[in-house]
Amino acid sequence: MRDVIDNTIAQVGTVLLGKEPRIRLALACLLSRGHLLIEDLPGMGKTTLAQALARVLGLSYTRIQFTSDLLPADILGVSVFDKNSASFQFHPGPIFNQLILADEINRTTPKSQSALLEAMEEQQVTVEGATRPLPTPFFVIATQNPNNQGGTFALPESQLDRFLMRIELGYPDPVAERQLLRGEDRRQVLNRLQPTITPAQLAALQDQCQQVKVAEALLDYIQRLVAYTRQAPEFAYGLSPRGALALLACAKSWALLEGRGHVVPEDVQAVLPAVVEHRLRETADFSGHGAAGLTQRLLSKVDIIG
Amino acid sequence: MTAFQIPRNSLAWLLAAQLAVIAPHVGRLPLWVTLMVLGCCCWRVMVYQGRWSYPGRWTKSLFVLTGLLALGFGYKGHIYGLEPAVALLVIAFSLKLLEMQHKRDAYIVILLGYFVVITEFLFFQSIPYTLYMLGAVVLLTAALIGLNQTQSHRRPTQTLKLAATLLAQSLPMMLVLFVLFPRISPLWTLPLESQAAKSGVTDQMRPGDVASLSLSPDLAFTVTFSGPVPAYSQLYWRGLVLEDYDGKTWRRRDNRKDDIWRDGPPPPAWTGGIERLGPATDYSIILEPTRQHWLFSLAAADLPDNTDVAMLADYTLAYVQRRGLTSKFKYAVSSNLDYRLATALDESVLARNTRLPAGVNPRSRALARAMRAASSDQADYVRRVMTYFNREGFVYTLQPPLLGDNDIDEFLFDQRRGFCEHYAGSFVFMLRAAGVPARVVLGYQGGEYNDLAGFVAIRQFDAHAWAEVWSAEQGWVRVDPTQMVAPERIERGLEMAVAGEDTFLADSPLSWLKYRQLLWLTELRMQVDAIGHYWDNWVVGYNPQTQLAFLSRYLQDVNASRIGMLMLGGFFTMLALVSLMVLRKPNVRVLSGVDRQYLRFCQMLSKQGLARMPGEGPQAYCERLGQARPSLAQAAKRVTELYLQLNYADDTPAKTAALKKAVSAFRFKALTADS
Repeated sequence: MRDVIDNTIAQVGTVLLGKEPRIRLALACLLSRGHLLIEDLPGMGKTTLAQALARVLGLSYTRIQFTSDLLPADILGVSVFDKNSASFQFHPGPIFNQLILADEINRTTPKSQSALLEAMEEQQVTVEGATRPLPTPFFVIATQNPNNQGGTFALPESQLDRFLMRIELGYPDPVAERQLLRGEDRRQVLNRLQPTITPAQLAALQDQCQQVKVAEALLDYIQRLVAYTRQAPEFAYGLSPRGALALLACAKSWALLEGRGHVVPEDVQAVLPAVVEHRLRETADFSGHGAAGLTQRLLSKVDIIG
Repeated sequence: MTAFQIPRNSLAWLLAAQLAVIAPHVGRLPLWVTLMVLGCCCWRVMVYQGRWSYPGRWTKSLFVLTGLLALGFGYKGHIYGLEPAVALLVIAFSLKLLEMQHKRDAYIVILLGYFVVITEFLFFQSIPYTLYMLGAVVLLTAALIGLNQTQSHRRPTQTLKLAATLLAQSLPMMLVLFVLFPRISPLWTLPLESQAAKSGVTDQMRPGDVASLSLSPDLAFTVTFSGPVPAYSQLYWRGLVLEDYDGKTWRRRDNRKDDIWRDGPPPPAWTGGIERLGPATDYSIILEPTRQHWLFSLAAADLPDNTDVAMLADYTLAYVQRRGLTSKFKYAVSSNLDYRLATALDESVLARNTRLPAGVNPRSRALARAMRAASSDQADYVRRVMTYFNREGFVYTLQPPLLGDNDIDEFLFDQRRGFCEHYAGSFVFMLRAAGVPARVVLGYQGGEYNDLAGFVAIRQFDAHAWAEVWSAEQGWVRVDPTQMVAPERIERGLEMAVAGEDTFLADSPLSWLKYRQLLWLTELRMQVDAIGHYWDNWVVGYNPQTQLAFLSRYLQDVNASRIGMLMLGGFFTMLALVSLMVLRKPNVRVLSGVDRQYLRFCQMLSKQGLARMPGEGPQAYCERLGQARPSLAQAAKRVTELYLQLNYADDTPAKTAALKKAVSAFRFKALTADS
């Protein structure tokens, strides 16, 4: 199993150069059965990461480009009258796939954004009164441009909360960038990618994540972290219990990716920024710049030993 | 100008506080002042709701003028008293409500409220009133807190709770200041009007006076004996000596009114006239305010060591300040129960004490002459008169019949029903008619012993009149004709003496003194009395003298710097306690054995300048150690792995032995590496 994981990470790494920690985070998120939000400037490789993941995981994949005139029916599907059978026939929308890339999700209106809500939370959609289940596994990888760019509708806190992680990709380091510039077209590399993992293996991995051992001492640490966000004055509001659960789930997956059967504090610290940054706001932060400084502070202030 | 709206929270508490503060004054204030207060409150609420506006300049001027004029007419004749001043304060307090446009105005109103609370203590000092006033202070403080909360604060009870907490926290400081802060006698005082009514005995006696007093269960004074309490029949509390008789009324000597208390009292020459025979009885008295000058004591009292007290020529004590007793007064006296008073007497005094107006009560005079002729000497005559009261069917009653012009004749021969003043008055008349010097003494007799607090409570119904007879051998001797008629009165008190006629406290059906047969009620009353006594003794009666006495018990030398140091000491002690509470950590960390061992390991490294950061994980720390001290990397890795294994993988923090060994090994390694 270990080889499978390493192989997967390596495969994605051939497309997205020099971003191994981010790939690991994304994988941890998927192994925890969570949805991933990638926030960065255009052209940083958000879509590439999503496509690469879809390919190596062997999942059916669609990409929905969110625009300001996108309607919910464009995502979920619509019933069309069929002359032959003289009845309405449901045409499933792009959401009926295992891996959805919701590109530039914050460019669409809240109405269309919320069409994703039920799908992400319940893994089912309700169209025209009928509830239809979505395929398993079901991942949403959404990308968004930074909020301060033009033509964006900021995702509300409630919707941000549905994403298990939010990561940023960042600029590549010079070595990776040089390799990128010298190498062949990424699109071709992407097309050559082969699935490294079978759906059965993926399901097994997801189950294994839940088996990872969590000691009392570690739960103490997580509770201290959560309590700190609730008490310290610089936090506008504390982490919710769902936030704490998300932190624990991601830490378990991270431990598994590290090849360990138990969680250590470093696992929590590794996933913490990605898991909690979009769930917190600084008291003095009125324009929503994010909580990057806040999570660093949280990490440095809370002792791992009770 | 932005319109300031006082927060609703504050306004609600302020109005509540205002009503609470003024309520005890209502009985004393004219009705229109109360109406004005209520009107102002209503107006202010209307202003808050936006229905009415603030009164204009002319309206306000009109209110002020009306208030002042009404005050002038209402208190015509005694405008320079305390009560008009309080009324003025209350009017100002409520009118200011209508001017409360800025925050500053609200502060003024609240401060005025605190001031009105203080004025309550000029009239009431009992425990229930004090508690009530504390409640009013809590309300005012809540208003003050509310003033600094935002308009949107919607939980007024929390404000009240905060105020109560704040005041409760300031209680220790209040106690320190109460005990230690120097007490200053007032520079000037204003006369109080309303307390004349409950003055107790007055300086003249007509038939019926004492009987009407006997209807009241009010407390007159309390006495604490330092030794054993004398027998009930010995407790004759002398207050006034009445020597002048005009045929109807017994009065004090006229010139007694002004001479003593005008200038400071030098010890009078006549105190030498007391011959003390037995051992001294020491006691202290707390007298309720009477607005009079006379003080009460047992016979043959010593002049107390108190510049406010003087002794008069008739051996009674007097309060020398011109305004009389306007508050509770505490004084210590020493008396001898065996004594001889004034065996030598001036001619003028002798003449005064045998003088009778001509023409009144002829039948009594005739009887006196006849009895004197039949007696062998003066003492025999006194005995015969006493026996007369015993034998001729006299009745002791609280409902004596009305008497005409020759009242003593009527009493002695026709009615024969009377109260102590009838007996004392007619007895002295009979003696004087036979040329024996005698006088009436007014005061109290008896009292109720409270064994919880060890004091004797003397109430108004213990008021009594008796006689003093002079003889050359024995001086003034106390003779009580009431004893001949109703010995129970002297031995056991008024209630027993009038048990048959159901007149005891007939006007006060709710007084719990009436229900003495209910034991539990008596017990409860005794306890309440005892608490009140301690309160009077230690709180109300805590004046400059008692403060000095109290402090010199613990300090050898009471001076400003010592008291200052004590106050500062108290203050800083409290500050220290508070800071201790603040500094105390809310919860103590409980560390497992594994954690302790790992922290031991971290501490070792911290001494070498490689302290672990609070948020640094064990693996990251180990890595940093390996880079900083490669020689120790192996050992450190061993400790870290063991720690992670025990703490996070096995989840058995109880097993520390291996980790302990690893840490010790690391320590050995670190030490050897250093050397």
